[in-house]
Amino acid sequence: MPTEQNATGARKVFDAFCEYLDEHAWKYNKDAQQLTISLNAKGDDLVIPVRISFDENLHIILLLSPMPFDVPEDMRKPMAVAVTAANLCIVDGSFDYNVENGNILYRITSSYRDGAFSKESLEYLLMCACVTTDKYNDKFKDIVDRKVSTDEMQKIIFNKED
Amino acid sequence: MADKKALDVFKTICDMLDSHHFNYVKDVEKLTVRITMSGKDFSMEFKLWLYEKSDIIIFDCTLPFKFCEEQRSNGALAVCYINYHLADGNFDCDVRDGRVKFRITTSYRGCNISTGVVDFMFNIACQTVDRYNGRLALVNQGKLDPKDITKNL
Repeated sequence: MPTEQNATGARKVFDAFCEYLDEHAWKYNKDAQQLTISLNAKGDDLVIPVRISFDENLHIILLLSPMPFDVPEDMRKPMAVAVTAANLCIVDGSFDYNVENGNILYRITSSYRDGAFSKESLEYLLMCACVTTDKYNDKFKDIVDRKVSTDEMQKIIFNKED
Repeated sequence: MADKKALDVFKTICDMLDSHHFNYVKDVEKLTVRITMSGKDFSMEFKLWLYEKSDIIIFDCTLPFKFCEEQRSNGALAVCYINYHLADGNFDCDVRDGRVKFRITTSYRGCNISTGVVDFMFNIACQTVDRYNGRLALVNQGKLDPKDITKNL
């Protein structure tokens, strides 16, 4: 159960995040009770939805960006290889893949314990979520659309990073 | 040479480790600390380092075994099942050589990092690796189905 002190810390980060978004003219929706923010960024290929929330027990900021498609049932096991290949090439954050229902989302976190946040760090997290999701969402979509196999995509991902 | 901010954060990492009287090896030039911890199944080799390009602290732990070739796709699957259940940090599996690594990060851009933050990251890393390394080894041995890796923990 979050303590009042934990909730105050989360609210400070929530307020700072909203201020940052206002200063940079982002359009977003916020829930001041639940301390959540949602926005859509425009990617090269697909819209990038980003949900921002706070884990008041762990004192972490969470940014989640779900892919706007699901992996069909017959492709769920082989997709794991492509997702792990992408994660290996990412310095910060990771793609979480629910093998049971085919959802993929990008997750990046940072601690705000003892006031460890700034507008620069919040901007970094948001940019990381947008850039990384934009880099890989079309690759995952190509697999789902059966344009490339997971083995081919694995090679594409690793070759680009080599 | 690292900038002052990075050196301050690096000192905070060392201060946290010193406060617990841990034995570690540090390389100030590379802003890297290496430390070995004993887990319930395996010993754990941690690398704590700063990635200055992004102003992030990274703690990573490479598991002491590699997935054998025939189990690598199961290793990738197992890591996906685990990552989906984690709030912070993630496991990376390299299907090319079978290596598995846990990684947790936090940003220090424009802010001060306390020993509390570093302590939290280190605790999460130790607990998560210790919780799953034995189960990942069982998947590698073909004794555990990847879909069961998060069950009954």
